This record gives sequence, C-alpha cells and structure tokens, in this order.
Amino acid sequence: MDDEGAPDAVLARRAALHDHAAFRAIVDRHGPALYRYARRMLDSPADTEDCVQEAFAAAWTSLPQFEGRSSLRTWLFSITAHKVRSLQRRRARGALPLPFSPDERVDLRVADPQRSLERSDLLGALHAALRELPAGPRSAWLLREVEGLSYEEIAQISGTSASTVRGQLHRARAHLVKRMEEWR
Amino acid sequence: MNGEQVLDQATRALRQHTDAGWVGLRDDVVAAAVRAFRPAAPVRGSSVDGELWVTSTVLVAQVRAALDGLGDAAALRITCTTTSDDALDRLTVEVVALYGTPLVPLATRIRARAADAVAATLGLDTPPVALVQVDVSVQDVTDDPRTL
Repeated sequence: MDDEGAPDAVLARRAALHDHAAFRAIVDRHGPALYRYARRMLDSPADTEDCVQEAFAAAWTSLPQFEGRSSLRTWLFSITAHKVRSLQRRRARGALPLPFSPDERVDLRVADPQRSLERSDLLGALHAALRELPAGPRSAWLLREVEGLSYEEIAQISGTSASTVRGQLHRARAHLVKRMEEWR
Repeated sequence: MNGEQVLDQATRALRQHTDAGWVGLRDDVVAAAVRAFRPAAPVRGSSVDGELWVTSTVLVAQVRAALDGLGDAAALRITCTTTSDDALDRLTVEVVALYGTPLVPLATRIRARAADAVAATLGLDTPPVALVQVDVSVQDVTDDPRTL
C-alpha cells in the first residue's frame, strides 16, 4: 500500500522499522500543524524551525519505543510542546521577545487579492491577540480550537488536568473575543 | 459581525493556513531527522576484503524491506540478538497476518526472505537459515489489508 493513504499507526510502525518513506509521509501529514502550533507559541521563525526540526528528530529516534498508547498525532504534539517549553525557558533567560511578523504574504496572483488581503489582516489580528495570552491558555486554545484535540489529549500534552485545560480555554476565548471585537 | 463571529472566522482561516516557513523547511526536516542517532548494536558480517560491521538498525531495515510486499502479512517488530563476539545469533520477526492466511507456509516464506536479507546484508555466501535462528511470531491478525 502507498504510504500516503496508510493509517497513522501503520506509518509509525513502518518508520520504527527504519522506513524513510513512511517517516516522510508522517512529516507531510503532521508537519504543517506542528509548525502552525510552534510558530504561534514562539517568538521567531528561527526558533520555530529549530523546534520543529528537533521535534521530528526526537520522534525519529523514539519511534521504536512508540507503543500507540496515544494517537501518533497526540504523541507528536507532546514532543513539540515539550520542545516549545524548552525554547521558551531558554529565551526567557535571554533576549526580549520579538514582535510577531506573520510569514505569509498577500499573493497578488490569487483570484481575489482583496479577499486574500482581508484574510491576512484577520489572521494578523488573531496572531496579535494570541500573543497577549500566557503560554498555557494560548497552547490550550490552539490545540483545541485549531487542531481539534480533546481536553484529555491537551491535558496529556501539557502535563496538566482536563479541568485546568477547561479553565485555560475559557480564559483564552474571553480574551480573544474581546480583542477581535475591538479589531472589528 | 460580533467578536465571537469574527473569532470563529479567524479560527477557520487559521485551521486552513499553512505557514510559508513550513513549506521551506519540510525537506530539511526529513533529511535532518533520519540522520538522528538511534541506539543500535554492532553486528559482525564478513567480506573478502576484511571485516564487515553493520548496525542492528541497518539489518532490521534490510529485513523489513525484504518483507515489504508479502501481501498477506507485515512486520510489526524485528529484533536481533548477537553473541558475545557480535555475531548474529537470533532474529525475531513479529508480524500481523491477514485473516485466513495459512500461518505455517507464511512463516516459512518469512524465514526464507529474512534469511536472504541477512545473508545479503552481512556478506554471507548462502542464506544463513541453518546458521541463524529466525523466529517468526504472529502477534495479530486483521481483516483490513490497509493495516498491513
């Protein structure tokens, strides 16, 4: 079977047995979401790249020990969130945070540049509002609302309880609604 | 639109968003990750020019590749043990088999393929079926070929 359509569990099993093509399929399937999460948790594109590189290297090394107790997606987010926290701790001891500069640019070749511009503005406003949140609520909101993980999965990733996650989501949503209301 | 509706719209946009940074990084991620070290034991082979050593991960990868395309089974885990002087002692292949597959002929095919791969990887003249113990363990059966 081709790797593209294979279930995550099959890809994880193959990659554990040193199948590079299966690992590439895992990276293609989950990389965009892990990058999207890390980018909004970290101050700079360079830190995001380091984080995602390190997370996938750790995943490659640890796949032979992956037993499937959680889904592959949750496991990968756990590794990435751990790398995010390590980088945040390192950066907290160093320089001041940079302002967020979205990577995306408005593509004037798209069919509706005006709509693309509006979408970019909307995302920019959301990014700015997210960055005002502490790391815990920001992470919980991204994992729940953008990546669709359950409270229990987020608690596992964050090393906390589902009730704490619920509180963090409530706080994050209240802040984001207020900010988006002001932006509107 | 109120704040909640704007937030919902922005959330939907973010869900569909792929960062340009990821597009540039993707190939580097794969190349760097597979260079990361996986703990492995040395396994001694033979070569006309002298000693040959491979890591157990290389041996496992070669056996896994040899078992790809069995059609009615797939490797779940492959482990090898070595003697005190690093010669291959025993190879264990754990598989999932398609429901209804006759298991004894399947095990014979797996043993032959695994032995061929070991011989080719370690530079042995003949497949080491008699020299190296290849244990086959059917750990699971499935009626879904997609899970093979």
